[in-house]
Amino acid sequence: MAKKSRVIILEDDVTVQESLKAAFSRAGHTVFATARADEALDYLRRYQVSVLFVDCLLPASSGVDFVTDEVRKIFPAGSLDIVMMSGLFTDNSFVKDTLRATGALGFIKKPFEIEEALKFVKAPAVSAVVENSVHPRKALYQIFSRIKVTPREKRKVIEALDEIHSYDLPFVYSLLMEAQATGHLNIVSKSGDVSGISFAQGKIIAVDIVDQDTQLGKILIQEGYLTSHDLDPLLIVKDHPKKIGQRLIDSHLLSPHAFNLGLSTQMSLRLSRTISDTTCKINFSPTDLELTTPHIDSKTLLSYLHDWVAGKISVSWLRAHFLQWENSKMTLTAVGLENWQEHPPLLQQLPGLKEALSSKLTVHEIVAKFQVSEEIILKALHYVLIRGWLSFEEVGRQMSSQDRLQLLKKIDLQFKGKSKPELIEVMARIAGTVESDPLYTLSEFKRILGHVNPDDSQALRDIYYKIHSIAEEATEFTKTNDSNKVHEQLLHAELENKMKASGFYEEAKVLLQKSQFAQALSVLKKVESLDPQIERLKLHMAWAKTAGSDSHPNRSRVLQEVEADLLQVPPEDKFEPIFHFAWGLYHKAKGDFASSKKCLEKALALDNSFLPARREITVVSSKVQKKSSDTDLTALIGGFFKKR
Amino acid sequence: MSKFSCGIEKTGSVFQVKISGVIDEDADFVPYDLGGATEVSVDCSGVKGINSCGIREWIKWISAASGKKVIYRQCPKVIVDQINMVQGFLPSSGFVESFFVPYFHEDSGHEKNVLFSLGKEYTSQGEIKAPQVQDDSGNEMEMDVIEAKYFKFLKK
Repeated sequence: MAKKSRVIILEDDVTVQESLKAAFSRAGHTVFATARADEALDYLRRYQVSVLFVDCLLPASSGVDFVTDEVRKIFPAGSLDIVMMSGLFTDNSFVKDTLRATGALGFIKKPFEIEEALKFVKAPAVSAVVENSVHPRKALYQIFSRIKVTPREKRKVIEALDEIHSYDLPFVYSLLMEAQATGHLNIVSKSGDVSGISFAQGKIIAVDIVDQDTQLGKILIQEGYLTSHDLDPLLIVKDHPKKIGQRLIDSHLLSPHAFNLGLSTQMSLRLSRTISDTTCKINFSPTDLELTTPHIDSKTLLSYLHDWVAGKISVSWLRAHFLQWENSKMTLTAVGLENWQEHPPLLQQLPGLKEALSSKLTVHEIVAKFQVSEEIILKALHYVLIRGWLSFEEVGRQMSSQDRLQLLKKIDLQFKGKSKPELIEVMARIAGTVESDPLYTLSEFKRILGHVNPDDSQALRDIYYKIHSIAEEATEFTKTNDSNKVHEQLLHAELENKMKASGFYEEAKVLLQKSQFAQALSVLKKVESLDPQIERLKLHMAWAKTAGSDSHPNRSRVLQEVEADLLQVPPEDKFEPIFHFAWGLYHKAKGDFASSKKCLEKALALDNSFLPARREITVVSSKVQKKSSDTDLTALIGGFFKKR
Repeated sequence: MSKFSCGIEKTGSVFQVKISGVIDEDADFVPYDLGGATEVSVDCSGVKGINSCGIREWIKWISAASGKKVIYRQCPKVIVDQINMVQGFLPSSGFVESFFVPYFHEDSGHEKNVLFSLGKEYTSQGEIKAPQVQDDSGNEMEMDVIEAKYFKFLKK
């Protein structure tokens, strides 16, 4: 298959620009011509460009500075051919200095014959044909560093996606909403299960997942639309011709509006279940669909986005994910400046984040600045990123040796104890690619590693070569048959860990029931190390920590941790009695007995046989009563002395 | 929204099927049983969309022809996407006789679907001879798909 080369012409002289564009187009190449350096850079990031032609004298800037300060930081010499052009500065010493500084392939003195320019654009090698542009998953995250993205571009980025990590899905949903998409997003899991999300005019109208557990009853009870007394008698009658929702409406136990709200929440929970620590394949097909009710609009989705980032995405994934921007300064976008809100709970944990981001810091600098757990900071940053409030400036900062050493140490830490197939997974996360394409992953990973310079310290060189060779070996390994065997062994080991975790989990639950909180917490930590994604773990930890906090020397820190744990509860767990129970304990520990009582009552409404909740209600109720009688007494005494 | 419709014409054990509209939870393949067929040819030109329920129904339906000669023709992008992504959407005994490739011109914004046929624009070995396509104003158009992803099924 013949393939065109992509050429950029960065030139403000319209005549030169037009004639070069026409000549290259005639020769069958794809040409992007502009007078703006930022647009050229944006194009370079999006496409695999063969040659960049740059005029030395650009409006308000120097073409030489643009190449040395910006382009070469991303595309070092050898990775992109550059041809410099000038009609004004043509003396030999200037040409020589320019070639040396920019690493350019050539220098064209204006005016020139078109043939002279054409000779720099050669036919691409056959191997380059396969990937004519940036890898689709990489392109998805490059939206973070784009100046402006049109709805068509957003749609095309998603249409181009194939394999992604399921943790990318919240961002995909949000982009489809922003692009006002209408059609079906089909998702195929690693095991081959097919799920789907239907969009109409940028709203989610249906969610189809394999696990069709409705949870509707729990949702309606928790939201206060129903009580279990209303629902239970209807559940007893099986094989009724009408669906339970319709029967509730017919019996005037539920309004159609409340039912729709419940269905909408149910959709959100199903969406939440699509987000897990695994890869999946997706495709989006634009299809003519009508907007129906209930649906999830963008405002509602935004609150879900927050909860998914807080409760579903693992910190180890985020840690590796953010390494691809380790050297990039973050900057608030116009959308971010306009729409920043302090109220999302993750952002409440980081007061002053907006101001910190305005001063263009790196991820590493932000983490160092706040006295909050790295987990919360990375989640908050990911949330603002996928909301489009923040973007990364890929250029503009030379990484100091110290910073590079820190980066390499972080990568080394990520590599520690990993088998070869696991290393490919880690490299893919760091490089923003997918593990099913190990060669591309390696090349992108090496791009992040950079190069060693002769004046780099020995420590830096040692760790660089160590990581480099581990990455090469892991990639080589994927070509062998042993790779599949190791994959199987890993799956087996993972399964064993899950089983062990499940055993410990049961033990911890028994300890909690017996009020042996310290022991329970230590067992729960074992569970966390074996299977951090096990259901409702954060809730049980919150229970153990809060109930055991009375005797803790640093009680306020423990309660802070509990608050962070509760913030990171996955949305589907928020409909469990233990969620309300844990909040009840937290409020009780903070002395807010009225709120505690409300939460505990909710827990009991969802599960009438939840004994610990029943016990706590008795304790808290007496405190509420005491407080109210104390208040009455104060008011009474106050009343005696009130001036008339 | 165009409704699902399916027509089946049987000439002995050779079944000609034509499917149109959106294939979703309302699409009922039960009346179009493929039992007894030795060859099934499916014309997909009228398919406007398919959701996850539709994909599951399709796989269940077409698996009845598994091991038989199965030919998909005039596949729109939405069908090609599923062939590429979902195991069993095209049985291993099947092949694609023709499919559409979207083309686009960046400056004019014109879009066009071009039919690629086996033996003309591509070979059974997966080699592609993409035609030069122009829009109504004579602008040369580019393929509007990620080639490595879109043509993946040809390499299987």
